[in-house]
Amino acid sequence: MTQITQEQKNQFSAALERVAGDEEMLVMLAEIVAEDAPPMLQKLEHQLQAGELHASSQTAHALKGLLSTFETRAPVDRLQPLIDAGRANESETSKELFVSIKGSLESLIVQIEQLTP
Amino acid sequence: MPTGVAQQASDSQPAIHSQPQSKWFKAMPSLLVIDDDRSILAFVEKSLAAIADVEIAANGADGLEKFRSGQFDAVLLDIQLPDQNGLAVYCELRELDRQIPIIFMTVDAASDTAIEAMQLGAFDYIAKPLSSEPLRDLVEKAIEQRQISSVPVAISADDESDDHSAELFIGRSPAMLDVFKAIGKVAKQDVPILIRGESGTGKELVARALYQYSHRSDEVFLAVNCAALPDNLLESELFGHEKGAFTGAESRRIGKFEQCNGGTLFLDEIGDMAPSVQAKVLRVLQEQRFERVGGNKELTTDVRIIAATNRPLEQMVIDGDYREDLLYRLNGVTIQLPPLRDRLTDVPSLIQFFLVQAKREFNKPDLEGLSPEAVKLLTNYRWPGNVRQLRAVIRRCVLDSVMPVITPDGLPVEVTRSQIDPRIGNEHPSSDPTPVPGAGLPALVRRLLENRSTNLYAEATEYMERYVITEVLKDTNGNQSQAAEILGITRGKLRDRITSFNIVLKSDVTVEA
Repeated sequence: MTQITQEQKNQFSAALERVAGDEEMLVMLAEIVAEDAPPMLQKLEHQLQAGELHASSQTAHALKGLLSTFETRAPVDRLQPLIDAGRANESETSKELFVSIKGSLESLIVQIEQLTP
Repeated sequence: MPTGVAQQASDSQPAIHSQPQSKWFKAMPSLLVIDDDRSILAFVEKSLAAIADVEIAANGADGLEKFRSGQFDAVLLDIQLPDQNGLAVYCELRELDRQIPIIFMTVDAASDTAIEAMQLGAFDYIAKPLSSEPLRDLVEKAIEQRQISSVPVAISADDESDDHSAELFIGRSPAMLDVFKAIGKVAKQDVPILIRGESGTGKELVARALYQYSHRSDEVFLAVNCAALPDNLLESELFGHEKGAFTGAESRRIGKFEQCNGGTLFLDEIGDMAPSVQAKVLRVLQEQRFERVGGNKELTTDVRIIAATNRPLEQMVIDGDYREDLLYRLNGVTIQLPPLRDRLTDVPSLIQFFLVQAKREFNKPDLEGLSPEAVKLLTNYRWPGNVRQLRAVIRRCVLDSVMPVITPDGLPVEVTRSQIDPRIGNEHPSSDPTPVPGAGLPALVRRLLENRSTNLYAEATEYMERYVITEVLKDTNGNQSQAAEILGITRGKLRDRITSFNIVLKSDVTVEA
């Protein structure tokens, strides 16, 4: 039996629909995101600082995939310009984009983590 | 063994199956998922646990190693893997097994890689984030495709086959021997083939046999039911479409003719095709060229077409509903499947085969067979639903049986009644006695359930279809063009239904069903 609140169900209604209403499954996926997303975000930041744009693009792509089960709109969809900028080798743009979405990505990850017991 | 058991379920192998099984008796199908995202692996494992054994791999190398050492029915593959490009993994998988259906998973469904993969013969792609139900539907289709193209169709005039994993084509009646000969004669010739026969006679099985005995047996085999899709979707399904070709065409889609390049395409219900699609199919048959819907670029393909129909194509040509040139292109080689009533001598062999199958599948080791009286009734029946109906009846009997021998009491009413009135089985199965049109559906379903019908879906659907068509024809004062448009079906299909349902359009435009 999961402890998902009505507010959380409303917030992640699309995600619940994707798992055909299976709350246990949603919590299981949230646990994976809670474990994997923070280090991935950290890795992305380091790669951008180090100018490893190709690698940063791949990490951003993986992060987008990981989070998109829970959210497909902002801030997750804002990872796409970051992926594109990395592929285009645009270092400054990549960094600026990352700074602009970092906070909201962190908030989303916390909200997903709150689904776990 | 009790005396008087005429038809034995003679399979002596242990029949213990705790896992769900497909109709081909394979244990649970197996699926390999290759993705570095743990949440995707967990999602797929949990979503598909009921339909497949899921094996997971977190990178391309691991996936390929597992694929080499295992036996899989389908693969779900991420396009972007940490160690190599998903497309490279795809090519290696295809080298190892040309027939394995591979579904790509991609965050960007319009990506060039996804399109390239489809052009190379991938089964399909699915966009991330994944959703349980569409994922399950797609994987089920892929597994079915795998089984269709890889489960051997054994052609036998004998009752016995050592290969229990095969689907056996049974018959030693002259009509069936002619069919077997025709398959042997034309399978290796790279020509289009038209398979004709009533519903339930095994047209798909012939198509699969032709493919499996052909030079293209290592390549892709895809099946499309032309009657199952509205005309515009069928055109897109067959030929693909460009982005923006029509409302909802958000990205380029690769059609079956492109996807099946080098392979065999089975077009079932070829009579149910709009004229615009007929023209495009004709062009592929003549020149192996086509364009995607909404596209200008001419594409070439090398596809062998096997078509099937139970419709009177010649009459449809006369009525102006079917292209004569397409008919002549298609029926260069025709294989005609006889209805079961014309080869009743094959019924005992078929009973034997289906009995053994059902006994194993439903785990009924104590079932010994059918009584002579039951066999006689089954052999005298006219089988309007042909072999499909016979198979369903035997399966139902085996499922319901609690005694070691199935007697006439265990048979469906329509079969036992045929002994009293031998005309039964020829008549239209669901003539509606209800005075209020459409109101008899619940009663019909109840009656069919009570009679332990093995054809309930078809009969109930036919009842509903007849009601809908009648009502629309009334609404259009008998104007068939308008009715076809409202119904969203071709005029040919409407005319066919009017004939087969005995709908009478009277001069005062009231409609009698």
